[in-house]
Amino acid sequence: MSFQDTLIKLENFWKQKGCIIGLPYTSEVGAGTFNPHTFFGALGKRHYRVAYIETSKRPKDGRYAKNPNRFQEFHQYQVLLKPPPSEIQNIYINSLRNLGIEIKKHDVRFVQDDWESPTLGAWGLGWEVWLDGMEITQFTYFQQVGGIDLNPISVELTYGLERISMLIDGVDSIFELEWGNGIYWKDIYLDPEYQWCVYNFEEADIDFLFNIFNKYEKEVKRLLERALIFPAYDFVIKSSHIFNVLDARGAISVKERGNYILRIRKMAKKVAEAWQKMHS
Amino acid sequence: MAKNALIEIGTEELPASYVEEASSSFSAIFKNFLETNLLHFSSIDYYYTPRRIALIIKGLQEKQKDRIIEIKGPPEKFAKIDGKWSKQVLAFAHSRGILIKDLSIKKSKKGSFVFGKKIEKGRKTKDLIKKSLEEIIKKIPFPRYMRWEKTGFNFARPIRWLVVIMGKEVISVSIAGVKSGKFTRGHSFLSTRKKLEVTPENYTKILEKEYVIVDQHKRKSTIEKMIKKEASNLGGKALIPNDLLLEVTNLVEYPRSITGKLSEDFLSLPPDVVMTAMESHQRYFPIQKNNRLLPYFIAIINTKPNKKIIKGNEGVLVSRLDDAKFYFEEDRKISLKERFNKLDEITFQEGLGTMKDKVNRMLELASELKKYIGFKNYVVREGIKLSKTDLTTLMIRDGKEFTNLEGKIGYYYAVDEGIPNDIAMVIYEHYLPRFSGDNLPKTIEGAVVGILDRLDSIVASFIRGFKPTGSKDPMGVRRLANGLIEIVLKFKFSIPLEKILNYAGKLFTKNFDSSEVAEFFKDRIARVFETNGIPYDIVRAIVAVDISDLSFSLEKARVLKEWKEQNIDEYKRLIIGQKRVANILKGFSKKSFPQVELFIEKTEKDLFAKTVDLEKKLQTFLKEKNSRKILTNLLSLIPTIDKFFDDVLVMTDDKKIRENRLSLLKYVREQFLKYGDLSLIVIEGGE
Repeated sequence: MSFQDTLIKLENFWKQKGCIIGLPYTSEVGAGTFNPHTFFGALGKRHYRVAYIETSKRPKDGRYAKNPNRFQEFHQYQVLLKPPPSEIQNIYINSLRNLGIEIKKHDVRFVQDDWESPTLGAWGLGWEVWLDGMEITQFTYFQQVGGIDLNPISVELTYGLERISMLIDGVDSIFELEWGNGIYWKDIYLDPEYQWCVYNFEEADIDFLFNIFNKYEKEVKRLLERALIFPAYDFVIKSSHIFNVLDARGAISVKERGNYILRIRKMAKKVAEAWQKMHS
Repeated sequence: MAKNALIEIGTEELPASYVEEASSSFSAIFKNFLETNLLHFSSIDYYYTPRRIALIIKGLQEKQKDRIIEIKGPPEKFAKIDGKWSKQVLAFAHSRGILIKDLSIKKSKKGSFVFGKKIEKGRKTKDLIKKSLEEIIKKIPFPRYMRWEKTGFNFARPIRWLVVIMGKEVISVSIAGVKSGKFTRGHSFLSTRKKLEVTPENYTKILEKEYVIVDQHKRKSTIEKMIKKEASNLGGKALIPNDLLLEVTNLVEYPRSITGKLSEDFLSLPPDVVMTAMESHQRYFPIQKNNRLLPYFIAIINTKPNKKIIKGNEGVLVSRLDDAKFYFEEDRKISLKERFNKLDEITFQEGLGTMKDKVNRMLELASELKKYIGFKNYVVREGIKLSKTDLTTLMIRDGKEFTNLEGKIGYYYAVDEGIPNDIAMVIYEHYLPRFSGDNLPKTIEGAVVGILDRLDSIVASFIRGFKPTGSKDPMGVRRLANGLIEIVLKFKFSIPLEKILNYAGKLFTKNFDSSEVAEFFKDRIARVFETNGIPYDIVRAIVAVDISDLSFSLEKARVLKEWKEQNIDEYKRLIIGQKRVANILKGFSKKSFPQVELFIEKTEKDLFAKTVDLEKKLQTFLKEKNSRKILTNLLSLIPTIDKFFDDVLVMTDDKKIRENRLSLLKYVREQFLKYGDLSLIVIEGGE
């Protein structure tokens, strides 16, 4: 089964479970959690169910397209259910069955993973779901987002789409993964993957990036003063991505790292608080 | 009649590291509940898997025994009117359900009162459980809690079912929105039975049929056997660290083993890298033959094995090792020596320069330390230069599992580059001990660089204002200090610690004042000695005067402690005497030696002569570091000191004589201070 068929099956499955089918965000994000559907969806009292594909950009994870399992860009299928149904584990397993995975012939495990996004001030408890030793999904009960205690709680499911597709398709290398209609991953992503690695690790202009990081940070502050929460949040996301590029570029020392993460978290917290204030 | 009871909390997968502690506590809390309610039982056992925590209570009494209780009523003065019970008393009896014939007047501590006796009916066990179970479950301790449903219940993971049975009867409760019943659940995927009715008697058996080994001991021993068998099939020996075995035991309900194969290529990686990839992330067991890794691994899975599962697990490990190989190959393009210059790209601590600055400070400190300790200078200096270079490698900068291999990676790369083994060893050993109870360095040079590194980091943290307070220790300074002290003790180094701390601080800033960090060290030393069984106050007394020779300090503390245990009265006398001397000398700051011609009483002449004699003897014993002899000789002076206080009035009006007497006491005190400031010791029961 091709990548796109897997995607479509997931969309249909979650649509039937009452999710709206959302869309990926317009700025670069490191994870589907950054998408406003999840960040703002998890805040507040409103019940919400949403599912969407997200392009995750993680510059540091690039391997110049040499490692068939690690790339600086991949795709997640993200589901947010608020509040979580009590049979959620079962529903999740059924979503795998729906993809044609014969659960009984595999070793499926829920291995503790206390998830945290230091930049978003978000954390939750849950698991990595393992299928034959491979992590295929992150399963998290959010407890806080933007430093705010959540009530009701949301459950977040994040499927690693390429990994699951490779597994279903029975290929060892992502290069040979069929995207759809006879077009393969390598046809679409091989060159971009390599070029982005060169950019992230070698070419990214450090001064320029530090400069815009600082400007974005100021912009968040300015926009929040005008109660423009969503535009402000967009600049939080942008600074987070810039930080990731600088980090991959080796421009941020181990000790400084914490400091930058803290700066982004502060922004995310302020946005969450502003949203909360507006909705209380 | 007694019955058996079963309580099972069914959950989504609990973290492997939580379940043992949680289950044993649950059992202890429940036992305590039964005992406080005077409910007898013959045994209580706990069981757990990742998806359940269960208690089986055998021979549990069905209800409490009836008891006669006495209730206090009005005071005697309101008790009777004309020899009859007053209205007040009757009202009391009525409201409490006490019969008139059971009223009497009794004396209590607070005076005489009316008391009424009545029989309190024993309550049913099931009612007591029903009432208390939620509170009991709330008390189960976990490292972290979560919320997931609308009652806001806190638990480690969501509770999805509850079995609460006594005999055959369900005790109905509702916890976190889940109603209790008599149905458990089998293995998530292998069990086909939807409604699995259990009793306390058949619980473990029924579950076993449904692919759940609920008895953790049985699960653990089964797994251990499986691993050993898989390894011996390959003619090798599995490495089975106990914590990994326990973790794996708590990750599965239905353990089965598989053996996966790896390409031999990966064995060219440092073995620690391969083992870390296997153990720390995938929870696989490596196999060795003749002390070399075999290209295989053993995995414990939670279902029946098949080829697909083996292949899947192999693929995952390969992708991790591919990553390690990518790091390894990239790293090898730049030698460690070249990496020395890259150290200035890594910040040490904010505002305190780079790792290169740190290494340079360590080099300067090494020259200073050389004055006090004998070591191979070349090895130490080259070792220092390389000690941090692996921080610039991709393997360590990975930020995930391989980061824990700092020091080890440096060691492997160094050996690989042909750097002599004793220098390579410094890179690895200077990180030891990494945690409490870890191995200590074996080579002097490793130990020395470990000390220098720690001194620098500790002083740096104090300069930045990150000194540890209460539960806060953001830079892990306490652990660093403990490590340093353990190394010094192991190698019996004599280092003038205060001086060296001062020197280390001056490398950062000219205005460095070492008193705060020295005080911190004294506290740490006392804590480390405490783990050697020495009371905190004794160590504090001994390190208060000198921290330049910790082995000697530890010995002195030990000798004093042993003597104390056999001579507690004399010990008290010694300490009280020292406190007296210290008190009387408070505010006396004259630097004068007692003058013989100013002595009047025989006792003071006597004390002086004996102290002069003592000082001479102490000189020899201090050189020999003979704590026992020093102590015995000091003790021999006590009767004379006591007599001095009995016979001589120190605070006499004559200033000259008074000051001479104080000088004498100061001279005496100076001798005792050679052992420690014993006046700081706490005497129980006052002074």
